[in-house]
Amino acid sequence: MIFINFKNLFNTLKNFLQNNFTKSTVFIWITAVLFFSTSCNVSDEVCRKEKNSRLKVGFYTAVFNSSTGKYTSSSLAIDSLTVNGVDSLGNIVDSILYNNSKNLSVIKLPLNKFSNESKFIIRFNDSIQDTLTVFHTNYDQYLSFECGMIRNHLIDTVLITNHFVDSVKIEEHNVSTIDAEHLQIFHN
Amino acid sequence: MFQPSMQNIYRYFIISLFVAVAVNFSTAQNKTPASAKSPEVKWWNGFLVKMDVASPVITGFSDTEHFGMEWSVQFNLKRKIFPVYEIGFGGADKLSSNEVRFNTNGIFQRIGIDFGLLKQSNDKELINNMLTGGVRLGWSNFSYDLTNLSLSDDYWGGSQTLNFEGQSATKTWYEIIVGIQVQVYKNFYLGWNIRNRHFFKEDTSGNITPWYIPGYGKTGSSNTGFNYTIGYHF
Repeated sequence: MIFINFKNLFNTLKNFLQNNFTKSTVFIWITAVLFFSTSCNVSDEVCRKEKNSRLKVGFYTAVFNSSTGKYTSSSLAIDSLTVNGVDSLGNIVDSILYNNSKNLSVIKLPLNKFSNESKFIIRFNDSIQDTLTVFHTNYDQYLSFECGMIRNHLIDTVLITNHFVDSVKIEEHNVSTIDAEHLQIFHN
Repeated sequence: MFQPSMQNIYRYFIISLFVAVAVNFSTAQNKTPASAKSPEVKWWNGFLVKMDVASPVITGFSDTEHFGMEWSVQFNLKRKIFPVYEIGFGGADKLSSNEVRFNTNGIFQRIGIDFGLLKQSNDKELINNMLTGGVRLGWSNFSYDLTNLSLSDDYWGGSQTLNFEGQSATKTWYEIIVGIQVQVYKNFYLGWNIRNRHFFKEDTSGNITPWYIPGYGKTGSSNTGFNYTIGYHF
């Protein structure tokens, strides 16, 4: 532990300023020079914030609880999932989002920043496929000078076909960088 | 207003103290005892007009992204209380690593008060060196541009560039200051001070906030600045 007698230090400084006229002038110059020499390294700032706002979708199954007589939802891991985006012309987007991914119960999907509609084809267990359509409005959020602007979404409506899926539920409308589950897809 | 990092400020402050102590110990101490009775100190002791040389010097020697000039008037009441008025202009032109450009300039003002922390010595000859501590209330009304903000969609495709020009803002803040000032020749004074600045209110997240505020510096919940002043006493 370092022990500094602040009172003595302060008194020394005080006496010095009061009694040593020329030396205090020298002192003030020396300190200024030292200051300038130590302070000229400016580092460039980089963005350390999350910039992706993704739609988080969870898969669930309804389980009948015989003791309470009610259905409760329980997380469902899908054996195999393939997810593609479909553009406004109905063409499948080249880059694939999930390619035969195993044992997933949650997926994250990018919503279209320049459109109010995002459509996805989800293929379950390499056999049955459903189309998920999300209607949304977009809004901008300024993060910082280093990170710039990001575009977030507000979910309006969600449509889904019922081949593998029974229903879909909107849990959270605001799709931003804040981690939250936005949609719940149910399968029985 | 020149913006050193906190680490450098501390380093600098410690070095300054060591230099002060070292220089002082190397000199023989021949103090004259203070006279028992002190003369009555007048209320009005003139005023000091000061100019900050730290920012123009730094701006001139290195291509920093911000610039500024400031002047102040410090009134001397009872050699102990120093009301201060500061005025200046400042600005910035900065390009971020992702090519976003921020541009501003504006005038700022500060009012405040400094207190002499040294007990006045009662020597026949008054030496006008002082160690002061004080506070400031600062405000600035300025406009700024934030341009070339890009948005792109890597998956679905598409991109857009956003420009926000002529945004105006008024900001207020407070500062806590410690400074040293010495009389170098007749009415000429040299001094420096370190100031820690804080906002009264934080910005709402998501707003297009300015990167730099004239008179405050880089936007952040707090920041540290430094002035090196040349003054003339009237």
